Amino acid sequence: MIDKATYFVYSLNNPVLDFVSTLMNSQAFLVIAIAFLIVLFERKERNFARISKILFIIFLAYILTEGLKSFFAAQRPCVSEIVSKIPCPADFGFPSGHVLIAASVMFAYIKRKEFIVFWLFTILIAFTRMYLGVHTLVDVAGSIALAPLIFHFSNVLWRWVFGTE
Amino acid sequence: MELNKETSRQALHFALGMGFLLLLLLMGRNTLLFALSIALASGILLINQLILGRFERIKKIVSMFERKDARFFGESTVWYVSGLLICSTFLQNPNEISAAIIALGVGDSFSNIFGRMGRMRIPWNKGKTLEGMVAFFAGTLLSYFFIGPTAIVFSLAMAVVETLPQGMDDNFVIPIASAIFFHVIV
Repeated sequence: MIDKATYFVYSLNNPVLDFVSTLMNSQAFLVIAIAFLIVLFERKERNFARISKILFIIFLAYILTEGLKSFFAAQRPCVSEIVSKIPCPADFGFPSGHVLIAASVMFAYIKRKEFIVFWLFTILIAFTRMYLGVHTLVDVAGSIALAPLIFHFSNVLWRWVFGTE
Repeated sequence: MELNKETSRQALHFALGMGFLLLLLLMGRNTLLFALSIALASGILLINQLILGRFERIKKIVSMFERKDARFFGESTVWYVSGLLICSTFLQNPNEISAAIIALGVGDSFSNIFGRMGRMRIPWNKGKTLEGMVAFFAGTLLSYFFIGPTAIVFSLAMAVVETLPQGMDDNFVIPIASAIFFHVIV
């Protein structure tokens, strides 16, 4: 049964939210938006090792998303409980790939002032996933909680491969 | 000084664990999930602001509970909340979630406090003591009130996991191990 928080967000109806949520649903938009923010924040320092590491984090987040979706095989709320505002995606629900990728990149900026931009971006994505009715609170909360794990493993793997932070 | 800091940190983790347990028992799993999500989202934003040098007074207070070897300020708290959130996401049964919270909030705190007084080193991890492992086991046995006799096996398994050389924060490893225990083994 769908939780109250998810149902509350899903039951909102606003044309601006409809537009923003549909736009953010596009994986191409997500990739372009993250890439734009990274370029914007890294344009002065041009630290390519750092940019590569962030790309590596995105790659790990993507792999983990696909693996966990297959492992848990959790149905999306729009399959049987609610009618989503967009066509219900065919793949499984947990975790939310959109949120996991955004949250993982956010953790890469934990020590920098740009963090707040990624924080807002992640919260907005989490909100829109529930608003569209394609994810529940469990899906998005679990995805945010998995982000530190991806950040940690990317650091470990990076250090193992390149011998540096 | 460092000893007091570690005791303060464990006292905070104990209090946090009891708070989340109370929330679970009174309001249910969904409310706990919601509260943990809010705590994690607002917590990392606060940590970022503290790292950037804002809110000096809060930073002083948080420093009292912080590990010396943390990768970033507030790291162990992020692991703690993330671990509980993942555990509450994976597990459906409130009794199993309660057991995991007890392992993290009570077992781990007992293990840290009593373990540092211990003398008998564990063969596979020289940084841990047998007294700490026994304290973890005894503390986690409180989960008997939620999961019945399974608590004995659960406490023993978690006590062993806690002593393994992990390379990760045990505040994260224990809830994940609890989730795996109930999800896969039980």
